[in-house]
Amino acid sequence: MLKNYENSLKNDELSLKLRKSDRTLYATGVGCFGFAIWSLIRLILSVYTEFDGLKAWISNGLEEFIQETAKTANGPLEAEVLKAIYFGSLFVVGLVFLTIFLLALLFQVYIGICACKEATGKKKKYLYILFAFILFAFYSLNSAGYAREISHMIYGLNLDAMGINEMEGTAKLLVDLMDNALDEFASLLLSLTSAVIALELIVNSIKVKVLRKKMAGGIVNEH
Amino acid sequence: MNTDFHYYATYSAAVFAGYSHVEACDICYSAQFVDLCSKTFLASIKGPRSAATSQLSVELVEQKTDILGLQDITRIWASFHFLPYDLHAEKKHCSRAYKNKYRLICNSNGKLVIDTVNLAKNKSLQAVGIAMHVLADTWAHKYFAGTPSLVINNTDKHFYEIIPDGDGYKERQLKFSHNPGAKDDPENGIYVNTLYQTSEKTVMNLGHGRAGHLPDYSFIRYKFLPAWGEYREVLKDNPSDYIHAFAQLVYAMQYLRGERETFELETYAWDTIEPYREEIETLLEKRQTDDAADWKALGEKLSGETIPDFDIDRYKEEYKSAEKDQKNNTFLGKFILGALAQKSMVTGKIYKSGNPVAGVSVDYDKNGFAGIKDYIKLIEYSAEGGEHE
Repeated sequence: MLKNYENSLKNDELSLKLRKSDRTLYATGVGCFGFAIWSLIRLILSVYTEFDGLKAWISNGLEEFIQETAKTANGPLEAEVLKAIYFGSLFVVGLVFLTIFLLALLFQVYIGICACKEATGKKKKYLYILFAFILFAFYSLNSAGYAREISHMIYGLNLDAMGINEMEGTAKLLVDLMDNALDEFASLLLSLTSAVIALELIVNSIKVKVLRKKMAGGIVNEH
Repeated sequence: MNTDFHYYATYSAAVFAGYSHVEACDICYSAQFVDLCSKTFLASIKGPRSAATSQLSVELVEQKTDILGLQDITRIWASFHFLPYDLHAEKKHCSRAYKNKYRLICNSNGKLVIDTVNLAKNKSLQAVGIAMHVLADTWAHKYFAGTPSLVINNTDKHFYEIIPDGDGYKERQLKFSHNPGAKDDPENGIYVNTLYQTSEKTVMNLGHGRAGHLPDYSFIRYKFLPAWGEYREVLKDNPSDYIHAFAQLVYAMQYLRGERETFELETYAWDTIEPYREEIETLLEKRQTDDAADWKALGEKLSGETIPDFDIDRYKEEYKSAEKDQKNNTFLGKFILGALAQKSMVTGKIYKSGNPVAGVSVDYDKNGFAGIKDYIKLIEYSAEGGEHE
C-alpha cells in the first residue's frame, strides 16, 4: 500500500552521509558540553576534598608572607595590615582564576551547544568551529605535556630500579612515582579524549555544512 | 502483537482455515498464552520453568544480563516473539559479536517459519497455537531482535508516522515518553518507550522496547532509523503486514489441517479471506490501540459462536490436580511440550549456525544427555512414546 511512498524514502548516499555526520556532530557537541560540566564538578570536588589542605596552605602562606615581608620591609608593619594585604591579594588572584575558569567553561559550553544546534538543523554557526580549533590545540598541547611528564617518570623509575639495592627508601619512592604516574596517565587520557572530541567536532561540522550545501544544490548521488 | 490479534484474530483465522469453534478456541488460547506463560506462572502450577515462553516486566527487571542470563533471555524471545529471519546473514566490517546479534533480526517469511509450522504438523492444537503466535509476530516485530542489544534494537528521534492524506501521505514526527504508567496517545503522536541506556546488554534494549508498542498497533505506518540500518530509513506498514500475517495464518492452519500439501513462504490464503478482506482491512486501519472488540465480533460472526474471554487461570486447576503421569495430557501439559519443542528447535538452529547467543544446544540423538535440564521433559516424553522431536 505504501509502494509510492517507499520510493521517497531518503536513502541516497548523500542523505546517509549527512545523517551519520549529524549524529556524530551531536554526540561530540554533547561530549564537549559534558567535559565542561565535568571540569566544574572536578573543581568543586577538589575544593571539597582538599578543603583542609587548602586551609593549611593559606595559613602557611600567610606566615611565609609575614616572615618575608618582615625581612624586606623598611620598618615594622602591623599584622592586621599584612593579613589584609595577603587575603586581598588572594581574593583577587582567586577571582581572576575563577573568571578564567568560568570563561573556559563557557567557551566549551558554547562550542557544545552550537554543535548540537547545527546537528539538529536549528542554526547555522561558524564561530564555534574556530573555538573548537583552539580547544583542540589546547588539549593537544596539554596531552603532549602529560606524556612528557609520564615519560620522565618512567625514565626516573628505570634509574631507580637499576640502583634498587643501594638507595634507601626506594620502595616508597617507587610507590610515589607509580601514584603520580597513574594520576598523570589519567589526566593524559582525559586530555587526549577531549582533543579527539574537539577534532571530531571540527571534522563533522565541516562535513555537515558541505553536505547540506550539496543537498540544497540538488546534487544527489544515486546508490 | 497484542491480545486482539493473538487471541481473537487467530480464532478468526482458525475458523477460516476450517477448524471448529472448540478447536479454534484451543488454538487461539494457546496463541495468546505464549505472551503470558512466564516462569512465575509455571512456578505457580509447579510446571517446568524451562517451558517459559515469555518474561514479565518484573522478571526482566530482576533478570541478570551476564552470559547465561542473556542466553536465557534470547532463548525465550528469539524462539517465540522475534523469530530470526536469516541465521546466516552476512554483514561487512563488523565484529563476530555484532554479526551474531545481527543474525537474530526478525522478519517475515524466513526459513525458520517453515520449521516452526512443520513442527506443529500432526501435533496438538496447543502446538498449532504456539506456531501461529510465532508466525504472527514475525510480521509485527520485523526489524528487531529477540536479544538485548543497543546496536541492533535502538531507535532515535528520527521516527515519523506516515498518515494517509488524500491521494498521498503526510509525515508527523512521533514523540516518546518513558513513563511506563502513561498511555499511548495516537491522536497527538505521543507513545511510551523504554528509556535510552548506553549499556549494550540492558533489557531496555530487548526487542522493540525502544519503539514502544508501535509494532503491535495494526493501524500505524511509520519510518524510522533502526540501529542496524546504517542510517537508512526503514518503512513499516502495519496495516499491510497485519493483513499478510492474517492471510498467512489461515494458509498455515489449512496446511496443518491437511487441506494443503505443503507450507511455502510468501504464500497466503487470499482466496479464503476474500469475502471479508475489506472488512478486515477496515478493522486494521481503525485508529485505536485495541482491536479486540472488532476482531471478536468478526470471529463470532464467522463461527456463530461466542468466543470466551481469555482467562489465564482457565486450565490451571486441571494441570495442578492431574496425576504426574497424566500431566502431559492436560491442556497446559500439551502447551508445555509444544513450547519446549519450539524452543529446542530454534535454539538448536541458532547454535548450529555457529551462533552462541542463545546458548549451547545438544543433539541428544548423537551426543546423549549432556546435563542441560531444560529439555529433560521432551526426552522423557519421547521415551514414553510421545511424538515430539
